Amino acid sequence: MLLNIIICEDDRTLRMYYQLIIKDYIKSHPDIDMKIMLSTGNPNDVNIYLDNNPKEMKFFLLDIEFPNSKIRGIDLATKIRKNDLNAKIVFITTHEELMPMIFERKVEPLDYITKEKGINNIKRKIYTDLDITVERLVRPQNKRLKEFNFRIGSKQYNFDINQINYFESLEHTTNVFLHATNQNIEFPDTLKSISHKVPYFYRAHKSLLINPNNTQSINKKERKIYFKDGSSCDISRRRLVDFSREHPDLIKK
Amino acid sequence: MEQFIIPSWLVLDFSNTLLMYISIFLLIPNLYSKRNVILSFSLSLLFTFIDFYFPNASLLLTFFTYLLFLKQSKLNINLPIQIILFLVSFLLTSLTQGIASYFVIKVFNLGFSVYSFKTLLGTILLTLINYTLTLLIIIILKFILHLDTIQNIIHNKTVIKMALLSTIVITVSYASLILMSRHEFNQLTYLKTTLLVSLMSTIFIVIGSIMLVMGYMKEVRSKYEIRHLKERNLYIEELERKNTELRRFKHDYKNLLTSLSVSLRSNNSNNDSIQRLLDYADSNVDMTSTVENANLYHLNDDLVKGIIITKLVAAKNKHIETNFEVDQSILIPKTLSVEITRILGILFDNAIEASLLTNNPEISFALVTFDSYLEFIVKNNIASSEKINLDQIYQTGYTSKKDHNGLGLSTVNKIIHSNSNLLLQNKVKDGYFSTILTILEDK
Repeated sequence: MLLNIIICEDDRTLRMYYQLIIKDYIKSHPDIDMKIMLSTGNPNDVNIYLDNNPKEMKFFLLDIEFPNSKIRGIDLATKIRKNDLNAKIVFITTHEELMPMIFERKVEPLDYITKEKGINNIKRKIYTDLDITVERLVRPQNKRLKEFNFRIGSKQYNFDINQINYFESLEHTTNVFLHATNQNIEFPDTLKSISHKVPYFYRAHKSLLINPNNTQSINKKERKIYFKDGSSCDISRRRLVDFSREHPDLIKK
Repeated sequence: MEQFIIPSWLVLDFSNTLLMYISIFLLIPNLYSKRNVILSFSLSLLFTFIDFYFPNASLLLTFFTYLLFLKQSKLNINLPIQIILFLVSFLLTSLTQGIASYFVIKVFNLGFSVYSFKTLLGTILLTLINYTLTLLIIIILKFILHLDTIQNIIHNKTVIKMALLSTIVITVSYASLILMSRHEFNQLTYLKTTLLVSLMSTIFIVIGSIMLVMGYMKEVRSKYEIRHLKERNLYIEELERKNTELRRFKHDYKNLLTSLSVSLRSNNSNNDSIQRLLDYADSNVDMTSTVENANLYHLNDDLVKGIIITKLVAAKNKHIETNFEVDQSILIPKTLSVEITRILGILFDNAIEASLLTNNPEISFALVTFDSYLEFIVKNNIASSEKINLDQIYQTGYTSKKDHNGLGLSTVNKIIHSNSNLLLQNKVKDGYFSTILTILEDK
């Protein structure tokens, strides 16, 4: 599949320079199918391109501030991300415009390149970013992780199922907590609908849905299930009997 | 003929002791219980007879039983206030008794004469007037002057000490006058002096306590204002610091540009020197530091803005490296601003505490807007030795609600759990602990 490269930078000289770097890269990687589809100083052009090519695989090199346009780089990137979770976005900017945490949450950019560090640095960075994009996007087309998807507001989250220990419903809200290794996320959903999405998860309690693939051991005395990362959750007495019958290997004496 | 006078004195003594207990119960409602009422009733009876043999002994005895009551009811009233309340009720009953006796003897002309009927009538009337006056004054104190609230206001030690001192002085002088007058003057003069002294002392007490309370209120207000001023000063200092930093930055930049033009003109056109200058700029012109975001000052919610600025300044004062980002045009839902402020306060305190355990503490904060929701992100670096078990710190476990005190996270949990529009996520990654508070728009 073709990797489409889009450049948006209002400074003409710099834009030409980026184009040269990328063309060099393409030339030195003849086995990979990629092409600069758009190189422009006007963010509106990018918007038009996005509307016309929703399905393509894309790599963006974006400036953050466009003095001549009302559209900011962050808005453009947010729009890209909303329609395409896989697109790779690299920001190239001056230092003081940077708000890394906001960009991280809104866009999840691949990288930031700061203009102050000089031309050689820009070149080196673009090369590594393209390497990563090729590595992640172009090559492993078929090798996909098993994912659990959910939404918070308008944002889609894809979560590696193997990382999930258990789901927990909350008493007074319509929200569910996802407990994973080193991460907890709360999102609006019910255990019932989740159990349809991941049928092999086990209802260990009225309010708990556990991932049996991540369990390490059962403690019958404490009525607790331990997970591989050391965390634990409760299990009801009745379910404990069922669950230990199904997984006799987990019982700890 | 004395046979009527002595019983009437006893009855009066008894009724007065009882009245004192009643006024104590009214002043401290928590003392009121069936057992205490019965006890006080029988005790007054007992003390009356003790008084008959040892004059004025009942006062001391009443005081001790009062202390006993207080001890058993386990109220958190400190000793000075206990004594003040007791003395107030004592003075009150004495005053009303004085007034009542004056009325009975002078106005109705019902002295304790040999005539049994007159003595009986006088006793009943005296008791009646005594009770009504006391109860009236207590009701005025309680419901019009709101004595309870005044009690709550007075926490200041000096105020309590002064009040204690003045009541003690008044009581002592009053008591000494009584003792003296009993020996020196005849009955009527004694009553008159009692009345006069009681009236005077009451007026002094009232004026004195009003002045004390007013003074105290003034002090509280000024303290509040001072705190406010301090906060404002911090804020101004922060702005000034930023201003100077900006000026320095401009200055540096001009210098750099000049030297850049010089190196260009020197015609070596050696890219190296330019590169070196750029490197220098990168390491020496502190561009990241605190050209902080003006968006923060445009937040629509003063509570939330306040907590963010306060904690930012607090973190800076502790030499923590801070990075604050606020998105454009943020609208914080007013209905949730208290909850958000409470949660943010706890999250910031934890972040500051945890980051201080590391060698170069860092805290980042971001406020991000999305189409239909907001995100507050608090992030701090953690000591590499620290291993955080996310389930443990929040105790979201179903039954294992152990008290993880000092973290305040259980409070966060409680707020989150009672509100569907607040979502929480936390993450440990690459030596950083981050918490994201999501505020969904009302559906």
